[in-house]
Amino acid sequence: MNQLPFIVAAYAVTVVILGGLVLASWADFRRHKRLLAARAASRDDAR
Amino acid sequence: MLRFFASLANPTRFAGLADRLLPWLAGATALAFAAGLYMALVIAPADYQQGESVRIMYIHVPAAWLALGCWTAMSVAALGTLVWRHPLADVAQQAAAPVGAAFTAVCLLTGSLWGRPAWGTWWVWDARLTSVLVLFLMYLGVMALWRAIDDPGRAARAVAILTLVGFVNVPIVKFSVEWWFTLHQGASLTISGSAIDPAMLRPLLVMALGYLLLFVTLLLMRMRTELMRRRLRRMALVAASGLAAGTI
Repeated sequence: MNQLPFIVAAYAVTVVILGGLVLASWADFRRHKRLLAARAASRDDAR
Repeated sequence: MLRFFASLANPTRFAGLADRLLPWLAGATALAFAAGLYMALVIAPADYQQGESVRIMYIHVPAAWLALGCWTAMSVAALGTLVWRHPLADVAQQAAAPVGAAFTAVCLLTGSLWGRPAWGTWWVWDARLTSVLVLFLMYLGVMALWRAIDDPGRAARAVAILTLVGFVNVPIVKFSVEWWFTLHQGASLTISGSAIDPAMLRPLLVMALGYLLLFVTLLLMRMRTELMRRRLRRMALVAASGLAAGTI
């Protein structure tokens, strides 16, 4: 049996799952940082 | 050690430490993965029985270790919530669950992709495979429970109890290959020694280091995000209560 497709599929699955989690976590982190900065800026303006 | 964890009870101090550590951890993770993948795909030899499919082991085995390690870390955090009432313990639990679920999914899928050429089947309902599937479902259960309860304090306590009850499955996964007759092989790497040739052990350990660093990086990043989310929620509540007071 040709094992190469199984090896490629295993590495691809790993990259998709872990890479997806890294990207989603990073995007969430950046979004919350922006939101917090915007909220702090609007509070300063209100003062 | 306890004093160090106690010093992190201040979320602002923790956020500062996480912000300083994250770039270094991300860099170290990338380096470990680059070295590990080069060793696993280029340097490591093919196995005399499994052939080239042994290269799947370099991503499958560390994922299995981290899947169990993550639940163990969540159980320690659950004790932190229930016993020591550490303010960051439930944040750590909430942040770790999706990471553990991802590692368990990688473990299950890569194991299945290795099993087809090695065993001639994608899946068997043996003790090891079934207990790891149960671990994956428990991760999903913890994530669902966080979303199901609105009050964060009650959700944290419920998740902590579920996590501690679920810890029973960790030794079952670990020792399933010894307690029952399974298709899955026994442990090749133990505290007393290794049955793996050094040419294959080295890439495995470097990949395991990469997975561990990725886990710590993701955990810190997601804990930091969760702290920001809670702060935003508090600010929104204060603003809403201020508006309500103004209208009365």
